[in-house]
Amino acid sequence: MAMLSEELLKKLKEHAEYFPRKEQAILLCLHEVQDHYGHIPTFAIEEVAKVLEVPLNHVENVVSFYDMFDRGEPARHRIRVCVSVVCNLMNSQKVLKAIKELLGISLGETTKDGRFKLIGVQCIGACSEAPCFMIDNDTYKFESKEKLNEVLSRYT
Amino acid sequence: MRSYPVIPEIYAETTLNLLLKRAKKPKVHSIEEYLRDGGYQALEKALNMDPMEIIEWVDKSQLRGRGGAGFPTGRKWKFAVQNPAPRYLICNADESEPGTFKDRILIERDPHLLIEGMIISAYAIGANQAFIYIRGEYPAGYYILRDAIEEAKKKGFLGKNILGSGFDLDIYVARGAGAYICGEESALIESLEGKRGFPRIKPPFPVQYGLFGRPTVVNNVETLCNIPIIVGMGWEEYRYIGPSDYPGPKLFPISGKVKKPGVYELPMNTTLREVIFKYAGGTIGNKKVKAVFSGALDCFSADELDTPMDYSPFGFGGTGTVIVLTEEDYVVQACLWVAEFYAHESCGQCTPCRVGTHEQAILLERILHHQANEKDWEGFNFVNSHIQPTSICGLGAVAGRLIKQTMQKFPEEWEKYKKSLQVNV
Repeated sequence: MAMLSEELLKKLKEHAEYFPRKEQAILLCLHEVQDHYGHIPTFAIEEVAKVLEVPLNHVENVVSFYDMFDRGEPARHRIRVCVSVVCNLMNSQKVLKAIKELLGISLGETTKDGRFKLIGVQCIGACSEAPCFMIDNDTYKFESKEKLNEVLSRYT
Repeated sequence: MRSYPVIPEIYAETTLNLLLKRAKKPKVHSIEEYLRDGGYQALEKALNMDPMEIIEWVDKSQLRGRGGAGFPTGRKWKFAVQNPAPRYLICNADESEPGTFKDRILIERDPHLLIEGMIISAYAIGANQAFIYIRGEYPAGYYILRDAIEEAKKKGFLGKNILGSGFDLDIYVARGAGAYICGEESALIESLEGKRGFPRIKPPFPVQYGLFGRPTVVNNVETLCNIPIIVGMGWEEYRYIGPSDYPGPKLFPISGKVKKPGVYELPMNTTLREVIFKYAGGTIGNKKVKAVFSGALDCFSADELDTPMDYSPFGFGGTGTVIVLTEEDYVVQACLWVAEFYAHESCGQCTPCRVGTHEQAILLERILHHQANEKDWEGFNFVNSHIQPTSICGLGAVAGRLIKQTMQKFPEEWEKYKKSLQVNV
């Protein structure tokens, strides 16, 4: 079985000690795991359960509920394109089209080199900047295909 | 200062200079800047008052919750303190309604206003532990709040014996992970306990049975940011801001087809027409306004632009969200996006909502593409009106509402789809 790195394990333990009760840290821990691995691997679920002292199926159950956690194939970066009401009104289709042209992927797909995964999401709360998208923790307004290409180049 | 994740520069403007006094500028304001502006003076004042007196002030200020439901804040606090300690305070920062992005600029630009509001509120309701639940899509806000809380601790505004008052408080920040339903207060509490965000059946309400079964007050970010203002100026003066029946500043996030989208701080009775034309610069290309959606909740036609923001049955209540559609947009198409939103965000706990929201979206898509028959149309109308009375929480209760309103207000838009229905075989 694969093992978590010392550094990641230390972070999970810090999260577990942060709240009044250990089990409250489950989402913080899962964010940490996903940021590290680019998805939620099974062995990490086991580690999170151990650190938080909760049953394994509880962690699995929580992972499957929250949209941001991905049990699928890993990707180094995830692009979340907003396809909610406002972004659609302001033409989020052109964001998807530009990504398709630049990276060759449609919604739900990952580039062959595992660099980017493209996901359609509901409102990301930057509606004055519509159409907008996120790459990992960063939020951007879509301006043009050229500008998007430049932004993408920052994520290797 | 550490660098935070990238956030786009959301435009902000204020006529009142209260909530957005600092946040109109797109930068994180440090505790030093906040203190220079008279920050944390309301906290000092509050700690010299009796907690019950603060609750009385908030009640008399007529502040109503800014998270959408508009419940009187003072009354909520009074209910909570009737129940025995320990009690908890939770700040709902899970803003996720389409078109709503007002709380994020308060969090990201002026975190100490929120923190001061939380300390005063926790003192008033007698809570020694408070939580901020911020949506997963606002990672910058999460890190900004964690840092601001550390700053406040170092100055003695948080921790043990705050400013020598004997009052202790710790504030913890929790992150969501992409579930709209966690903005519903009981689902939020479940999530904060480390579980799936399934809404609870109410009653009991959170003020009776909340976090870990204890009395809990859940207030929205903007609501809590009003507290230092009320305590600072006194409830009498606060009542003079805006109309006398709905006093206080209000944030209006405006988006869609307007020239200057952004967040505007205006008095409560501001009308849709004023928000769109006086402040947001009118529509793109000066097109005619066709409809306004207040989030995914209510729909207003071009004849209703004089509707004011308030919590009466005649106002556009909710979060103050304004999404503008012009003559170039199709209302039924926009309804499909709204239906898809509810289908995606239904938590799946209760059957009417889990199945109903998906059925509603599937049938509407068929209708929109002229592939529906009469049975589909009947089914669509049935589902649309049956999710509401049979669901556990507010999400199911409103999932069909905007669509139904558009049928009443834009019958001609729906008519052409009705005409193209295929006859049953």
